[in-house]
Amino acid sequence: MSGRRLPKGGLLDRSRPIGFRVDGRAFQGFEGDTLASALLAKGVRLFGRSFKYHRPRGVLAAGVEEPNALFGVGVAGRFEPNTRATDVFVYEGLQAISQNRWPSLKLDLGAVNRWFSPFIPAGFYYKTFFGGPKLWRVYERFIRRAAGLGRPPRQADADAYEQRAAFCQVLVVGAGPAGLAAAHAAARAGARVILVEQDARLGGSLLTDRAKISGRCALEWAEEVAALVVAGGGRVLTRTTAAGYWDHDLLTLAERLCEPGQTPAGPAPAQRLWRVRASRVVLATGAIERPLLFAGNDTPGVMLSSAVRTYVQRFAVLAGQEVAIATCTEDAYLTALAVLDAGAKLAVVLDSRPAVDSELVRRVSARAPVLFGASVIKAEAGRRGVTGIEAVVAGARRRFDCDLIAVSGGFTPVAHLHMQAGGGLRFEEALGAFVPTTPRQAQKSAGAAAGCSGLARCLEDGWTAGAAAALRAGADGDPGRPPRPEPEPELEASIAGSSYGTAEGVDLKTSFVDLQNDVTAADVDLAWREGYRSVEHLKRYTTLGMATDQGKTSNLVGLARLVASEGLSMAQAPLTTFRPPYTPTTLGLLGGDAVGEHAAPVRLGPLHEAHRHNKALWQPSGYWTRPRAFPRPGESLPEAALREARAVRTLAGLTDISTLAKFEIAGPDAANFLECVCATPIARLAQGRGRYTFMLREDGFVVDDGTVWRIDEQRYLLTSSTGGADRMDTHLSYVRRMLAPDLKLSVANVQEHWAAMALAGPGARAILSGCLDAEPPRHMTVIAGVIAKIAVRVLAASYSGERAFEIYAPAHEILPVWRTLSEATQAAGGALYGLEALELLRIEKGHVEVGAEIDGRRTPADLGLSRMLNPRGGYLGAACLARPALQAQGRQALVGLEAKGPIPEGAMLITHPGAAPQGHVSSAGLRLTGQGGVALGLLAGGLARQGERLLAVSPTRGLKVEVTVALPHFHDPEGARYRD
Amino acid sequence: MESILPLDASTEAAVRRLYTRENPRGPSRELWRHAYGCRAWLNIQRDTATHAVLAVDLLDPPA
Repeated sequence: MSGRRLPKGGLLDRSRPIGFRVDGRAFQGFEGDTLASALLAKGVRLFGRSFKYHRPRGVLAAGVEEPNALFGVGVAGRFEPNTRATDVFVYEGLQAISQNRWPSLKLDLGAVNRWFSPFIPAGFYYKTFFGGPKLWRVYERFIRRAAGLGRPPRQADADAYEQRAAFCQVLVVGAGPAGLAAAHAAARAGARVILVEQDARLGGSLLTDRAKISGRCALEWAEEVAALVVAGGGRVLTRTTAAGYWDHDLLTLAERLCEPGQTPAGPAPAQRLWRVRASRVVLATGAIERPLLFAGNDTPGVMLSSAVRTYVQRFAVLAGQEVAIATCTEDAYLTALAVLDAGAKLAVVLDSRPAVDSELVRRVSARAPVLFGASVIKAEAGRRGVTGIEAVVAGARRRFDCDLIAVSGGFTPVAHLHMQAGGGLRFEEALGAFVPTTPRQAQKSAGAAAGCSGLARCLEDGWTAGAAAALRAGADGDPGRPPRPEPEPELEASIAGSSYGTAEGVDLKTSFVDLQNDVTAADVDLAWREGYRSVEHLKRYTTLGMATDQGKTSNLVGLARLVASEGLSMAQAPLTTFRPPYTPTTLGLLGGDAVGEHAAPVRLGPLHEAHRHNKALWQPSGYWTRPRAFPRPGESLPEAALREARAVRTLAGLTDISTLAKFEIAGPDAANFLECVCATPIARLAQGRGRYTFMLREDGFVVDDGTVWRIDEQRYLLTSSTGGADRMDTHLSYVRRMLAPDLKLSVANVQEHWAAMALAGPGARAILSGCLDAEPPRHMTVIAGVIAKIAVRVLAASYSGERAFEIYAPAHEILPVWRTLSEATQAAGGALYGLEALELLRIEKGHVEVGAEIDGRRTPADLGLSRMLNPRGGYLGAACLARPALQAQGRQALVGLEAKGPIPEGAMLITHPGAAPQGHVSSAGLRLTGQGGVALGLLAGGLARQGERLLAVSPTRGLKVEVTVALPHFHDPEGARYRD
Repeated sequence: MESILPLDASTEAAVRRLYTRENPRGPSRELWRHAYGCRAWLNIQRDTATHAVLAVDLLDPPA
């Protein structure tokens, strides 16, 4: 016996049959079916295999709280694993595969795990998998295969995702009775409302329990409310989940424009992320039913009572033909009537409460046996799932045949968003659950989410919340009166009740608390026995509530058991933290269109086209893209870099340095300001002269370096690293506004105003002479001139270690200057060079670089720069430089390293194998005119260890090189090649 | 504002402000910059427990 489609009823369009495939098998459903309802209608019972024990599982629920029926839906770049079958609506051509089983769902070899179950309870991995790193590599292969639920797709995501912002006066989350009433009141009062609903249709519980509201069909009323909201300038979003409630009443909504795996229509995105800033928020998020604890409560055929009812009323599916109901709430009696009216046999209603008399109970008892004081012991299972139920009633064991057990362990208000917004909770004894209390932001819970029972109460509660929210948000129109349902005792069935305990003699090892992570009642007790007694420990030790369903049906059940072991009451029990998203969200949605090339802003230099024309190999440098090298046909990158660097050493080279940070500082106090920012003296610089400088952070560590040039009497040009340009901009602004606000000067960021190139090498002077209309400047001097009819500034400074000139021109005029110098350089036998060659040159010369040596942990003394410090002090960072720790002996300091061959960059420096590292190789290069490897490094004790032999080791690359500590310059230490 | 370390601070004052500063739970005065927008500096009073922004002062003129 199994499920079947009812001949009439349901909110389906039976004129639109839809074909889909699951595990390759063809099925047919109707428009309006979820994957779960369509499969149940065809008598499918087996929907998945559990995570650890590979137990056969069926569908438990009808909503997003479903823990068992997980499928991978879609193909190739649209494949979405771990999709709840209850949360995807069938579409033509849908393809789904079951998960966590091999080779098939029916015959799953993973089921052998059940024989190991005594050895693999919760937390077993903390007590096993011992034995060194080699054994771990063996374990790891099995663990990786066993871990996780679904498989991720291998192809790139084929979908596009959009992100939008929206604002409203009242955001209503949930379009069930309370949410609709709230939206109704707010819209009537003139507020701009955004109403969001995760289902495909508005109505919530009204889709299951039909009602008449304000004289008409409830679903018609729902459509009217929607129209009212839209007419008032608001929005109604279906298939949209409010995923997170963030600071200052910002909520993120995840809208599905098509179902998982479905190809969107035309160029539309598949999903849209809304960032909504609301003045007030009404959370009408409903309540989720809890299961009961008994042996075999995970057997296919055990379902939540409200879900059974939803399948009957909304999807016209009777999930079983002989039904037993186990409950502690009155709500389950509605399910009893629903299955009876659908033609099923109701074997028994097992109510755990002492005898209750009400209209509903009497109606059901007239048609089926109702037993009070009953505790379920176990579900009996056969090949296809549930075959019977056993319970203790008034001390006696009773057994009933059935193929479907509808359980109702009470209802838990969905307080997730309220808690994310920083709200409080209060334990409601009657519900056996926590209800939201004091909000911290602009939220208000309403309806079942606030613990209300019955349609009339929920409508009124929602209406009150909506009216109040509209008023608080500044819409003071008349909200009208609360909508009234046509009175029916069924609609007022209470959701109160709880039943957390287990009957005497129940097998705790098969009484499941968390179905998705296979956590049993025995595991919860085990955690408590082993001392894991806080709810945080319980969660992490057993993994209860940590699966993709985030414990929607299990958190409170586990907590209640823990609390009972502790001898406390639930009112005293804390919960774990609620975190967004409410339901799983694809990363693509969070990325939006900032993917691929658009993941970060792209900044191209003014000479980008020219470099492209010369077939440059590119290097991202922060947000900029710079040439790494200009390889000739057939040349590898290292070969190109070596050729280019050697050209600079022997003849000449030209490189683009446009992206360097540049600032013009002008005014009477310009020099004073620079002496606050830079740690070297500046004021003594004569007009037309420049010098190397560096800057510190407040804690005394070097943060950047560069050069400063006195262009005019009260005008300076400051250059610093490309990567630190944005940081330096903020730094200068901070010093200007906060530390030296009384100085008279102005600072202009001219990084993108001036483009620049460096011409370096023994032949550089001659080449420049031929292009410039003036005598090339002497070392560390700046002049103005003209090249190719463009006014330029020429600075004489050397980074490469050869005589070099930096030529600056306005960015929009740089191209003719570049062309002239480029042609002249290459005509003279020189070459264009890129960042790779620049590295080789500066390392051999011994210049430190931001990122490598200047890594935020070095003082000027560590880098051999202390003789350049301004003796007057007063610069940023001076105070902390005097700290004893920064003056201590034995600090890691800059050294040079030599070896016969290449030295691995990033390698650790040790005295002998097995010793602790005493430093590392910060920049590695080669001797450009000669043989061997050279490098810069940071070593404890610094140059005091000159001559010492060390090992540079990189275990991850399997490299070990003998190096000798040397002075940190390997080429022309005196600077004879460029000094005048 | 306590977080701004003057250029002429002593070493002891600098160490105190950088490494052993109080971190009160509740209202706190902070310096913010609108980095991706107008780059103005803002004096903000924020509650460190609730993230509520209690007061905002635009330091004029922006630079």
